[in-house]
Amino acid sequence: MNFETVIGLEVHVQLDSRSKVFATEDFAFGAQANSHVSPISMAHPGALPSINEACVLHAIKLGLAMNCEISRYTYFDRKNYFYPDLPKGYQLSQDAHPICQGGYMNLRLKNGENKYISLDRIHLEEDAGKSIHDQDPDNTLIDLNRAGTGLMEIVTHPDFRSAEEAGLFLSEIRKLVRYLGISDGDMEKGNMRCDANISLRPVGQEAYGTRVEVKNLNSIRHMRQAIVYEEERQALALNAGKSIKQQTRTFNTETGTTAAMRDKETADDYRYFPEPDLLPLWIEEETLDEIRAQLPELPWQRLKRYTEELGLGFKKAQPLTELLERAQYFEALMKEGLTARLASNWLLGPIRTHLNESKSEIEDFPLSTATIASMAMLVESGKLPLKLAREKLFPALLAAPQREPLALATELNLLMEEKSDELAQAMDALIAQHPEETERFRKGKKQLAGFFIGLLMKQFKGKLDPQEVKKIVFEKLNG
Amino acid sequence: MKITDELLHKMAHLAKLEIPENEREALKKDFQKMLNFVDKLQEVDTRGVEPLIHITQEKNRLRKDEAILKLEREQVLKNAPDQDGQYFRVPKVVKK
Repeated sequence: MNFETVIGLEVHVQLDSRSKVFATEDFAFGAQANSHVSPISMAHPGALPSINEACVLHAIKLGLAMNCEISRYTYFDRKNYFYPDLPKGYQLSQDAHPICQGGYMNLRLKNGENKYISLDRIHLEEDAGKSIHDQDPDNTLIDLNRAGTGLMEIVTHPDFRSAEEAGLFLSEIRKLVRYLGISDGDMEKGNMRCDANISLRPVGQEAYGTRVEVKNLNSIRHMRQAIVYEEERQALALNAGKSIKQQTRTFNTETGTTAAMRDKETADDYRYFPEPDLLPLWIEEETLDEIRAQLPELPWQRLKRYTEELGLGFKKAQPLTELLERAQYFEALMKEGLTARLASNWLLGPIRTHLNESKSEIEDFPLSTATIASMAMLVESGKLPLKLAREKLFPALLAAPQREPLALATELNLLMEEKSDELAQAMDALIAQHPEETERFRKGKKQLAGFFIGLLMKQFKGKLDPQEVKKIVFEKLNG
Repeated sequence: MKITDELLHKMAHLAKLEIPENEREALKKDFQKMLNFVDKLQEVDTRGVEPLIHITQEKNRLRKDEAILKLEREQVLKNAPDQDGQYFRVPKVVKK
């Protein structure tokens, strides 16, 4: 039987803020264990939470960017469960009135088609601490640094039909939160994590099959692997006439497989109730207008502008807008006077190659946009051959980022010189050396011009204006 | 709603409590009394009444995003029943 995969995602994004969402201490990735902890995150008796304004604004920004309805009235709930890295015995989260409801995102698939993904909600909550199970043979170790840091949970409807779509969504979310400046979305640091609900149904059937939830997928690659594995596992079971158990499963990064964590026959009983220690939020229209006005250009708006206004193809506009910093560098190059085509050629060509090879990011790139622009202009004005610019001047500038391109090119003797007299003489000599080719050219074999152009270019080591060479070769051959 | 052994067991499990056999009947009785009280309240017709979730008229108490309060690690771990100078130690949560 043929099956269709149905996937819904829950994406947790860690909020970038100076202090935690309900506690007042800061948080640093990779800090010494239990060095960013306060009585609030330890749940000491009498310690009261308070709501971080920045986290609320961040969540509204994301909601507006994803076309959600922002709740005018929202509050926090206690989600009760017992685990040692959750000292309070409950997580501050949102159940009945999340801050953002609905919303959607359009994905552009590899085949060029659009895929509409609708959201259920985005809510604000706090993260738990970290349990370490493999360091001490007899105990579980608890680090509370992460306890109380702010998370946004984005919950989608089961709209995905493949690992590709789900992976694309994650990379779009990562791009979006970086553009918005609300999180670095770095999955390696655990700043973005994802749970995937996966089920199969026979092609053509409307009712969903029984789903499993694969928890804590911490890279796009792992998420895709987990989905593909579940597709195979569930299809095998269904084809053998077995039913799928509703389960929570974990993904094993070493084997690329999933394994059952616990059965989930009944819904989890978290006994949500409103958090009495926090006041509700009433979000005013003026607040929303202010935030709307501050929203930066979003990734897909920028992509549209690049393709429609700057006339770039999708293949160029897409990588240019992929990273905010890259897009900013590109636009700075244009401010320096380069056309969109030239700026993108340099950025996606030699600069990107250099960054890939040195495993660095555009933020660390040593050459200013002014330097790149003046090198590109030297090429455009015909003073510097493109090949020499890319192969000689660019590496030389990387080694001496403060140098001025024209001065360095002169010093390295890369610039084309006014050589028409020398060229004419050299061409005369070539004609004398190659009477046979000259004769054949004159009898109509015009392609032989290329033979002479090649010889001249070789003789002058490429530092010639191709147009000028061509002109002299034809003049001389035509006698 | 009737408090059964099954329900009592579920409540105890969610709260990670072990209830000794000889206390069960008494607890069941207490629980039942509480539920009966709530049942009584539910006789009131509340159609069209907005639920009262927060009892004050206060709203929008937001804190400026500043890092101000943090403890030294020594203080953090000081009152823990078990710790190793860096981490809190708790019984093994995951089976080996």
